[in-house]
Amino acid sequence: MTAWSQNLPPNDITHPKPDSWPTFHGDYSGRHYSPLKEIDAGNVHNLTLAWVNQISVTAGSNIGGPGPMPPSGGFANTRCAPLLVDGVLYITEPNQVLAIDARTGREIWKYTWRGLPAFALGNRGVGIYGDWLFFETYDDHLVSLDIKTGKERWNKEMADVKRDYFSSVAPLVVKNHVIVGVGGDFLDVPNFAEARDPETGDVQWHFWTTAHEGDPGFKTWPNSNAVEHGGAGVWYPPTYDPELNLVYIPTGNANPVMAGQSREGDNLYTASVVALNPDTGKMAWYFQYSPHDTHDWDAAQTPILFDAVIDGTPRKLLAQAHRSGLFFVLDRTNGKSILTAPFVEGLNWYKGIAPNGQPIRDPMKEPQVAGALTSPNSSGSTGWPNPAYNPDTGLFYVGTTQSYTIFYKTDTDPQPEGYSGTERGGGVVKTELRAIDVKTGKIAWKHATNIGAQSLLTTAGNLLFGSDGSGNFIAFDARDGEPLWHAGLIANPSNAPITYMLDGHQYLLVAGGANLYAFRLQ
Amino acid sequence: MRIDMLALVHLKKTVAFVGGVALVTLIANVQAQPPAAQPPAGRGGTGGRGGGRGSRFKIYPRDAVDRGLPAYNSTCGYCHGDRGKGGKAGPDLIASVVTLHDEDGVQLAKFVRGPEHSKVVKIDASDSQIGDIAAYLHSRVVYSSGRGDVHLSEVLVGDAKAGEIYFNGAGGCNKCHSPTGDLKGVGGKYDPAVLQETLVMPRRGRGGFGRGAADTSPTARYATVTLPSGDSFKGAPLRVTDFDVTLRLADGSTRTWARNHGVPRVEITDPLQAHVDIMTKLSDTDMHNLTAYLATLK
Repeated sequence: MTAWSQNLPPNDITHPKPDSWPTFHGDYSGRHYSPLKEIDAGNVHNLTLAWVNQISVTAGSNIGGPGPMPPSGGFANTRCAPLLVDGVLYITEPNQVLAIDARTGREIWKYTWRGLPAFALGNRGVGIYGDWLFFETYDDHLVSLDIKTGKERWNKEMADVKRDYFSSVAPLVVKNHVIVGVGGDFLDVPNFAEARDPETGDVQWHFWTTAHEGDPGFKTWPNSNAVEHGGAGVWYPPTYDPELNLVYIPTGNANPVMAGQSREGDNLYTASVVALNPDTGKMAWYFQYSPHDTHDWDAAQTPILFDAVIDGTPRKLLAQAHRSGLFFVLDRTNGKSILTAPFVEGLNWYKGIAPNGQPIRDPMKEPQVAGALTSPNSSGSTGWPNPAYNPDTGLFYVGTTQSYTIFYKTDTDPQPEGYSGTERGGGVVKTELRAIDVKTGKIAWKHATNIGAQSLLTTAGNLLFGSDGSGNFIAFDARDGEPLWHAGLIANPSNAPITYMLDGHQYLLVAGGANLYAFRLQ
Repeated sequence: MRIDMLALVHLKKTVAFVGGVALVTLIANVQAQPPAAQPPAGRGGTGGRGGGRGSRFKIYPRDAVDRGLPAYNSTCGYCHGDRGKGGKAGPDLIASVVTLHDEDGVQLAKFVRGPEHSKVVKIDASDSQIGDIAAYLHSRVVYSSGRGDVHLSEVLVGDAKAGEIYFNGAGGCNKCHSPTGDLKGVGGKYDPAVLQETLVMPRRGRGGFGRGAADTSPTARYATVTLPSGDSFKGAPLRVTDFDVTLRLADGSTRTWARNHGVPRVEITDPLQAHVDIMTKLSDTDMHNLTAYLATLK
């Protein structure tokens, strides 16, 4: 039995303290909503810079991993959500973890993993259990560090990097489980989520996100060969309901990506959310957002958990704005659809919504040899940068893009491989920050920006923090989208902004590429 | 393409790599693969996808890959199928742990001569022959995992006559375009895929809309800034945010105004608005027909 060090017991993730940001999403719900309101719509115009620090990614002496030493110099590219515990921020850079003093912005320790060649998608951050910190490396290792010194405790290989797996997820700590995942969709491989023991790193359970033989979802594939090449990468930190004891894991797109002729069927559990019991890894339910997807529309977005009254009845809900342009509200106890609605205009790839809430695909808008003019393009109507939900306004905030492209299928072989298609032409009509009324699916307000998907934070002070794609970190009024304050950073905000109390004051923290900025009231 | 399995049943277990005629005719249907791709540049712009991928896979010399293709076909092809994708008797050799852990054919030779493979079929091939096969398989890994090297075919499926009718009718294209004027000879100048994407949205640049680009062509988007005084300025929008607007004016100079709650007003005009509208409404049938029609304008 582990002796708690008072550092971050799992209960402090379930009930976050005001002076912490204890997990990627801030709490298990994924709302990116903070109850802090020292800063509010009335006084946010007084927000000022507390400190800025440029993150150094040059390796020090604290190193691990089997690969070559990374080149020194170079700039950080911060895409994680920093965690804050006891006055120390924990951030990740490619194959690195840094502990930063939250009062001064200065580095406390740094750990560098020397990785083998792998695709560097971007790391979402660490998970913390007591005194132990966990992160995934690009080359598919799970590494555990001592939180005080940054020294490595152990590392475990989760997947074979030679098979072109790449890992980026921030591990989610739930009770005594470290929940991790791997992704890979360049070569056609099967992906998975796992729970690992925080003490030893050993596997507790393993869940294939492409349904293998024995799983009821197997019948949505024509054969095992298709499953073994099926994709469904785990690229995004899940959410968790402690009362229902369910972890909600969103999955990636199917492989081969744009040609579906060797994988007839819905291809479970690609482009889905799966609800798993975190103790056993058994699936309670699933919902597939894009059945038999052929547009690279993965579901690597936040399944946000919130409660609301629907038709007079309090309901436990889950909402996800999917890359394909559809907004889904589900009952998170059983996966039943409450509402499905487009959150951008112009979607032309589906014929309608079925009674079960799923889209009815138009087969003529799958990639065609002669080209199919489709909205959205493969980048989609939104992406991984996280949305936010504010229970005070009842609005789901998301950065959006309205785009068109001509999808071409380029591999008509009975056994296509890899991307198997391409897209040409078209363009972006507009990019907007939008607020969706979760009860109706209607757009409550929208604000033009120069960026599509973006990482957001909303607070009890009626604020929504985001950016405009032109380097400005902005506080919008959460009720109507009016910009109330902004600061021009050296680069566009690149990660999830977080907020916390420290020494009696509320801080905002955001990264602009290589720099970390902390703001507070005067 | 399917391997003739009846022929396979009659084969003896020991297979010699002889490049012999009998073996070659068995797998005569196996198609030559297009030249192996160099690692692509990737899509980019969407959070770093596509960056730095090429170094993951070793690129083998062209001549080894070219020798490796017929060597693969005659030694491995009838079990492992067309281009290494897997056949009825042998698995996929591309997303294969054996291939992916091989370098220069060394591990591949060891595996193929080892107990697991030998109990299925005994391969007699020299180190250099296996090295060539390995080079070919590694080129297949690069091709399969790549996203840039694609070949568009059969884009001309539409009805050129119907396209002409649409051009002069419901499409309204003849309001701005003429087959004997601006479109004269386009069918001879551009390949069909280029014709198709151009008729949908002719402007290139970031996002296909030249967003942020200082494009001074007549089809470029331009901005009009109107001050509270009533003065207005027109230019290329270099930067437009809630807090500032920067134009490049006709004389080449750059001017920025601070903005506050929408003042000064900024209006963006797109000379290609008709194409934006087309893009949002055009059916695939009309698109294919228009492409076929434009392709006739030689």
